[in-house]
Amino acid sequence: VIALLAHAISGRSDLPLPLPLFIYGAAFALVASFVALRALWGDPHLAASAGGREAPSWMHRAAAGASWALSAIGLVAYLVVVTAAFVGADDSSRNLAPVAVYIVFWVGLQICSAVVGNVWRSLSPFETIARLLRRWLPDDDVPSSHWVAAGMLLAFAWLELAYHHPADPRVVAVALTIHGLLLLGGMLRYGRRWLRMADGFGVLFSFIALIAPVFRDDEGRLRFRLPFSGLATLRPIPGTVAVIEVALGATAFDGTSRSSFWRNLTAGQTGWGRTVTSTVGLLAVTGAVAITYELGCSQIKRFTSGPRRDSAPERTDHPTERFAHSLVPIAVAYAIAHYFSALVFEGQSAYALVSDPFGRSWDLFGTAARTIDYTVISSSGIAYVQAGAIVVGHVAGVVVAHDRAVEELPPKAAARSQYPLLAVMVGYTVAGLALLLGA
Amino acid sequence: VTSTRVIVLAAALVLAGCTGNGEPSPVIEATSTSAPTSVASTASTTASTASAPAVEEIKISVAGATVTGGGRHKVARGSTVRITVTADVSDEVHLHGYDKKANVTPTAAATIELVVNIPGVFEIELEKRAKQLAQLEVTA
Repeated sequence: VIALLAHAISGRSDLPLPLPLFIYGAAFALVASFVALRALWGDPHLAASAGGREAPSWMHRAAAGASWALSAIGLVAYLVVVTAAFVGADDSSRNLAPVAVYIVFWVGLQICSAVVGNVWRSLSPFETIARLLRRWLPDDDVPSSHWVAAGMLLAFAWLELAYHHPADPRVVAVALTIHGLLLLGGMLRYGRRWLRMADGFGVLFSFIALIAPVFRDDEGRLRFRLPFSGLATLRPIPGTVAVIEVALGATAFDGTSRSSFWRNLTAGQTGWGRTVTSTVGLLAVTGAVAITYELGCSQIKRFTSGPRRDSAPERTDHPTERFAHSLVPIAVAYAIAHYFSALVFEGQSAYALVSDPFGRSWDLFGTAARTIDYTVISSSGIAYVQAGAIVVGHVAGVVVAHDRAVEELPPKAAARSQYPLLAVMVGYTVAGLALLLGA
Repeated sequence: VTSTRVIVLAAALVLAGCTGNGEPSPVIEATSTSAPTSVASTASTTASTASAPAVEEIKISVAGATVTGGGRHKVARGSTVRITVTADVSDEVHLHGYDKKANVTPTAAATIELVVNIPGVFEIELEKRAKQLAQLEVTA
């Protein structure tokens, strides 16, 4: 169903993953999983190293400056995109808004967050408005819950992957309006903390940013740490697990919708008929992801035996929350595998459209005449990125889950307790590769 | 000790990503679907002469909700492809990605002929109706 979106924007999708890459990828994921059980460290390590070390002060100053620049850019870009969505050309190939929202924002920021940290905290126009208005905003305590965020992400996934006209600029305008009112209204009622609870994109990006080797601490100082170690600091609240499950499930549905099975199922369907089928598919696949994860976690207790460590932290959280952070790299891997080529190719149309955001034949930056160069990366290059991302995401998930398990249990018992979750992760990885194989 | 293990693991990952031959599976013959009976094929006779390079013919016909010759058509990169669409409606046939367009009416077929040099999967659709007809898969 990405075809509906891609199709509105470009209409190109990836070749099926070559069979050898599928086999190597799946085999490597399996081997890595068993290595993880036998050979990984016996004491928890990531949470301790997540504190990282401080960056040199000149880098801190540069980052602070960049943060202000990003805030300004984010505010201007948001206004331009909203204007384009409302009054720009009613044609997704001549309007900046669709490609800006679905490709640059949604795909670009997920990948960007994983590499350079939580840039959305600076870029977000809502965060910027909250900073500017902080004197007048209430200091109310908003209930700790990510359920609104999870709902927002599911609604976005529905718009992108199920609704039959996702790239229509006016549809994007409606979506931006609902999103903006929800965030601004909540902010006026609850204060800035509302954004951290309700902005599904901001919440997801902040989780993904825990992968990055760079972050800012509570005092705003720039620090470096081991990639992926930040995940150990993720503290789930109600709804957090759902946010991650929706991110993973939506991408999995996107893969499903590119399969020949799904194409045959929806052949000849147009308009709302197609939307209904896709909605059912989106909910089914997201549900399947959620259920398999919850099932895997529910089996952990059965595989846990023997005494706990003396140093084990007192835990009252459920295993689904305890291990939620291990799904984050897998969700990012799925996103990269499915949208990397869209970012590389369709992203180029954004480069052209910034010169003419409203379809008025402007050429602000001299790039308006640019067309998409499909040769910037070869199809085998794309295949390597896809398989590589899935395998790296899998291994990272296994490693951070293992690290969490040994917090509580001695090494051998910890490894045993990981069987169910490992089975689920191998399932996700093989399924992820298989979806690419059948693309 | 633990951080070295992490580094070793990361290195193993990078290696794993680089090994394996990523050559895509061999090119599969283009599926030349049998021509629908009603097509007034004006152009398709020239391809059979010996010296001219082979043209991959893709014929699609639309009658009401039924699409004949839909599905996915595989062609090798670099080949010449001719897409002929007949329909019982007037619309615009659009080959996405390559961005080629041709008009179709109940009396005149739409023909798009091109040399395909971008690998990937591309949609062929009736633009105004947003009706997906078929996909063109250009193998690497």
